[in-house]
Amino acid sequence: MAFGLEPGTTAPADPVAWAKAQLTSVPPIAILDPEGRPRTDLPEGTRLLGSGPELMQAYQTAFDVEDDVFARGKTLSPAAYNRLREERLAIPYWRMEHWKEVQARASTAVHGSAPVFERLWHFWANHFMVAPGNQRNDVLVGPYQRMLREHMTGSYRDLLWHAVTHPGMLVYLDNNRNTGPNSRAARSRWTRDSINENLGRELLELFTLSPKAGYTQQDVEATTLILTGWTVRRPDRWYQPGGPLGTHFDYDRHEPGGQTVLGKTYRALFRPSSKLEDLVTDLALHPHTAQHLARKLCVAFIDDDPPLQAVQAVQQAFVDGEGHLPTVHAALLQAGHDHLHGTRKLSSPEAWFLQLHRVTGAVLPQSPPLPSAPAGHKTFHVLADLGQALPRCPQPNGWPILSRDWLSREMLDRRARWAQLMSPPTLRRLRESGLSLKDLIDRQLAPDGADHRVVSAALDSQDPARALALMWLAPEFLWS
Amino acid sequence: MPMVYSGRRRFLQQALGGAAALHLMPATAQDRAASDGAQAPRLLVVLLRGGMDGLHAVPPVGDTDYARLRPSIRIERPLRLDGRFGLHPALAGLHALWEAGQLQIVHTTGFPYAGRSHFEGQDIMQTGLATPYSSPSGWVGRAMEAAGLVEGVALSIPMPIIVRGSPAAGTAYPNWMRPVSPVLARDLHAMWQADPAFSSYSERLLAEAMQRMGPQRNLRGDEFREQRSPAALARLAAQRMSEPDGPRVGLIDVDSGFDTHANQGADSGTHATRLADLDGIVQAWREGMGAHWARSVLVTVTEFGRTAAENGTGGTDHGVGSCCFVAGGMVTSARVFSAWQGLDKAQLFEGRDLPAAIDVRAVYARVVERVFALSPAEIQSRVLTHTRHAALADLM
Repeated sequence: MAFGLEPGTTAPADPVAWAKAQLTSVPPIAILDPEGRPRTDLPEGTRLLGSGPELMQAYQTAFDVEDDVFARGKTLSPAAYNRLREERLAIPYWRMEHWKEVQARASTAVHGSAPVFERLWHFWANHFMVAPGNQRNDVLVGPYQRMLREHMTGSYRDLLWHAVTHPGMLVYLDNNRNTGPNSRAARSRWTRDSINENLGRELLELFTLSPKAGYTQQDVEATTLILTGWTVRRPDRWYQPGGPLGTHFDYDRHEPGGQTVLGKTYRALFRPSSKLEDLVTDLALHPHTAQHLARKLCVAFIDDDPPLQAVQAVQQAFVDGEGHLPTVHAALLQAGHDHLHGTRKLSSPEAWFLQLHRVTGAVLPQSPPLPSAPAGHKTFHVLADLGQALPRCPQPNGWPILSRDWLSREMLDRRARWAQLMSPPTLRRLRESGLSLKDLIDRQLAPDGADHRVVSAALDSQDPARALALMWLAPEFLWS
Repeated sequence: MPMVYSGRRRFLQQALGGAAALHLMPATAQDRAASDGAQAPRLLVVLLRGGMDGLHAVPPVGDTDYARLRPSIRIERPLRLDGRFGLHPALAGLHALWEAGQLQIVHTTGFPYAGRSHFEGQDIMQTGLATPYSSPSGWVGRAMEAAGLVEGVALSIPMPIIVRGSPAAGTAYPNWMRPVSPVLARDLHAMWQADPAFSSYSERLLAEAMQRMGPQRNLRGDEFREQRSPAALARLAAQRMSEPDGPRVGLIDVDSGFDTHANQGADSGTHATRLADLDGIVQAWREGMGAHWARSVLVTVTEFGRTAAENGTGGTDHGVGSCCFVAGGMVTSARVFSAWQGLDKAQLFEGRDLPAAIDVRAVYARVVERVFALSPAEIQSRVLTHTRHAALADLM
């Protein structure tokens, strides 16, 4: 449930209590150095943006820059256009933006103070996936994902609400244009926009009930209508200075009247926006949601085929606590501990990569993807090479949570190649820190186990680099 | 690109000793595998995730309702097929195959699934079963297993479900990292062979390491990106599949991009760009297969089609029926097969979607029958349960 023990630290006497202590407050996130301090050697443009008006400014700037590059491109030679595009779009938006967010995520997991919280955040950011690649949304992705952290100590209802109504999600799943066919804007022909089911469907399918609940196409359509008008304001040419920026409920685009989802009719009595508030509340507390989430958490953290008792315990905690997340997370930790025997999970490429660094004190790739920066590996490129190209998740259902989906010849071969590459520099760092590789191996692998024998033999044959690579690749290390 | 994989299977047998390698193949399948070789047919499967819009790729130009349902996204200049249907202008390579009598299209087709969920749909399109998440193996994997194939390759990092179910299925993807050293591979094999999750891979990895496959030279960013483009992956697939004892099955996973809920575009635009990717795959594979083209076939797989009418944001939402391309030297006439009933609301599934009137699994079953020389009965029982359709009698 964490990323392993850092060298020079001792295992907590009560691991469950240690882990539970990380559930009730939100740890800071930043691009950290190996000592756990925010890095001070970062180039400009690497500040992590919040989700307020400055984010909408940045989003608008992304549009302005892209429009400008296209406009200038019309009079430039192909080579000059490519240079301009590289400098103004590719470097800042397609690379640096994602590099800084992935770097913050990775370094906070490895060097931060609450690795269990980070693991759970990775789960929720994956559950409520928002990835770049739609409506120039690069700058929205990281701030959206970090916003989710702030709601992990409250109820699932609030987390769901903030996920669904954040500009990151509204844009990623196209709801910013979802417009009621009988709305004032549609009737008056202020817009040609109408229905878009993208978010409505995923709200039921991925975020709450799951298809097992047996909802119908009519439920999807009614949910979509309730979502009409939930849009995003950025300071574009229609924006009136002083007006709100960010998430905006535009009643003129909202479908009036009542809509029925799962047999219940949602009506606007005094505030039309309350339809979505009520629907989100009902969905968050629906028994099928509790069942879906309990199972998903157990599959992600305990086993592809988790013990029924574990799922029931987490589900019960969800129901009893009305989705209070620290209660649900604590139940998950307890269930994971109670069912340690006979269950196992293969670390995802990202979790393995982070674990590899954490237990050996290996230095994360530091260098940003700038032409002026020193050459070197880039964290997000390495993750892509390992099969998990953060933050570019191909689909809204997130990265796989099943162990078996992380198994293929290519996946294993790539882990082995990366371990082989990382081993010599890590070994040098261990020596500099005066740490013993043998002690490290004894901590990671059961001394009487088969993995330990193979790794020790490599160490005995005076090949410590191979021994270290093997330790990272031992089944005991790959599975948790 | 270095020929890193050439003769891998031969080498696998040498490295592990003949007996060890033969364990990869069930004994009953060995006779069939004997026909495996230079003359054996090759199959490339292309997964188009996100829901390819059949009415965009193969617009029903002869249907008067088409333009009415799609005022802003109808195809203006389709390539000519048969008067009833046209082909999207981004599919020029497929159109050339049509002209050569090497493209068949099945329209109004899909899986027997109307849940409109990507993720259930993508499971069903790979397992071939009507219930989502009910099988760990895919129909291509099961076909490979039934035919006793010794090698198939997915050009991807993960192993897509569609090829699971056969120990012969492998993955390959362009990589810049130095290969694992033989001595590390030997120790890995020692550690991994006891773990059932890893054991089937450790033999292969050891064999490859012993072969000392050369590293990719250090590629510049652009070059490396280009190597991973859909067309480059198709070239890599062709390079391997056209070897005399190369893999008989290839798979390319176009893992996103067809899900165009907004601003889908028409002759050009987002959906057109994805179709151009598909066309790039077709052209590159065709060129790369060379003389083997005559014994090759490519099929496309997508989880569902999209709504018949455009939605309120210049796109289309999740639907049911779509179309399927069957192209290659093994195809001997240009035809569109369909159960077309028009786009009138009464003819649409639930009043909104092109119906999946033809079970697309029957299309794949026919392809499997031709490529793997399996009997229809064996396919029904072991590979892909499907409902036959009279319209498909002359397919392939």
